[in-house]
Amino acid sequence: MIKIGGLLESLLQLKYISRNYDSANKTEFEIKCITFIEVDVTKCNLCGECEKICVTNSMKINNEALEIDKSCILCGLCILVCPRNAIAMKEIHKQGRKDERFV
Amino acid sequence: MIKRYPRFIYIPNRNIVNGNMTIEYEIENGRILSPLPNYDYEKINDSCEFEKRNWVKNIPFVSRLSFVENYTCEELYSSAIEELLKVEIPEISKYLRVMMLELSRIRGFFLYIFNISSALEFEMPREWALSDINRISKIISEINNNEYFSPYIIPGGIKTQFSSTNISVITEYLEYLKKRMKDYDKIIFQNEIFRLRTQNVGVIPRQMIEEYGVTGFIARSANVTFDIRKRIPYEIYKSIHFDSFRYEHSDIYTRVICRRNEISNSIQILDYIFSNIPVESSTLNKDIYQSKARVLGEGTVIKRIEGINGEFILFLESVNDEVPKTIKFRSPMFVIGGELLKKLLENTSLDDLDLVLASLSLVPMEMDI
Repeated sequence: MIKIGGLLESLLQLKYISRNYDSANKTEFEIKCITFIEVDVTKCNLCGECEKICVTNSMKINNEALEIDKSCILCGLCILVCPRNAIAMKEIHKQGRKDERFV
Repeated sequence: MIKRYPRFIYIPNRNIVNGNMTIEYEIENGRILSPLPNYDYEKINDSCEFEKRNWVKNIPFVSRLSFVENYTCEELYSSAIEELLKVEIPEISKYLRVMMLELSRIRGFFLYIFNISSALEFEMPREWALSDINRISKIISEINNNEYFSPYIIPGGIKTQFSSTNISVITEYLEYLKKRMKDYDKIIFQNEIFRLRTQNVGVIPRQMIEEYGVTGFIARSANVTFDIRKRIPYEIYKSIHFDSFRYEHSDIYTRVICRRNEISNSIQILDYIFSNIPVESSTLNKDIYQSKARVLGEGTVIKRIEGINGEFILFLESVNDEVPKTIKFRSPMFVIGGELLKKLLENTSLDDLDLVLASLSLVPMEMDI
C-alpha cells in the first residue's frame, strides 16, 4: 500500500531539488573583492625604485607620472622598496565592509 | 603471456608546468614490472633562475615554486636571507610565520585525503575534502590580502598586517576542524573497507627509509622519529610542546593515520600561538629593502625546515652582492619521487598503483627545483 503522506513528501522534495537546480544554473560568478595598487601622488618623488624592482615591468615613469600596467601580479615589491611609503595595496569590497567573510 | 607498455599520466597540464609526469611500466599477471618514472616537463617561466635576479626580485618567484609547499619555500628563503643580512625580525612575525606554515599543513592534509579517497573511489570523503580545501584556502587567502600565491612570508617578517578579525576567523575554524575530524574518523579512518584495502599495501621497511634518506610523515609512520621542528627548532617551535606518535611499520594505512594524528599537533600549535601571540604593531623590518642595505654578506647558509611532506633544504651562497651566487632547493620529492617510487612500484598490483602514488603525496613539480 502506498503511503500518501510519504509520496507527497517525496514529490515536494523533487520540486524543491528541481527549483534549487534551476536557481543554481542561473547564478553568475561575482567578484566580491578587488585588490589594486594605489600611488599617493603627493608623496611620490618619481625616484624610480619601484620601476627598477618590478618583476613584470608593469610600472613605468612616463611624462613625469607613474603608470601601472595591467600585467601587475600584485606581488607588492614596489611597496617594500618605496623609500617614501607612497605606494599601498588597497581593496574594494562589494558590500563596503572589510571584515565580512565570504566562506 | 601478453606484455603491454602503458603510460600512467599523473598530473594534468598547468600554467606553470609544460608537460606531464609519466610512469612507464610492463605488466605481467596484473603486476607492475620495471616501472620508470619520467619527469620530462620543463618550467615555462624562468622561475628557477634565481642567480640572475637580485634577492628582492626573487621573492614572488619563490612562492611559485610549488603549489603545495609555497609557504615552506618562502620561510626557507626568508630565513636564509635574514641570516646573510644579519637582521632581526619582529617577535610577532615569528608567530605568524608558524601559524601560516601550520595552516598550509592542514590544507596539505585535506589534499592528501582528497587524493587517497579518489584512489579508493570513496565519493563522500572526497567531496568533503574538496570543500575543506576550499574553506581553508579562503581563510589563508583572506589573511594574505585575498591572494593565495602572493608572497606572505618575506625577508624581514610578514608582508601583510594581521588584524584581530583574522584571529577570530581562525579560532572559529579550529573549533570547526575539531568537530570535522571526528566525522572524518567515522567515515574513513575507522572504515573497515578502508582498513582492508590499505593495510599491508605499499609497505616501506624501516631499513629502506634509512638507506634512501626518506623524511617526513613517511619516515615517522615507519617509527623513525625524525621531525625538524623538534630536532633543529626554528622560529618559535622551541617553546611549543606537541605530541609524537609511534607506529610499527609504514604501509598506506599507517601513513594516512600518521597524517591524521599530526593534524592534532597542528591544532595544538595553533592554540599555543593564539594564547601567546605578542601585541606589536609592526610585522616587518622594512629597512633591509632600501637600496643601500640590500647587499648580502659573504658566506653560505644551509636551512632545513619540516615541510608538509618532509624535510625541505635550501643552500644559499653569496659573495658581497645583491644577487646570490648559488641557490638550490631540495624538496622531499627528490628522494620519494625517484628511486623510492621505482622500488615501491616494483611487483605491485596494477589496482594499487594510484593508491600507492597518492599515499606518497607526490608533488611532481617539486622534483627538480
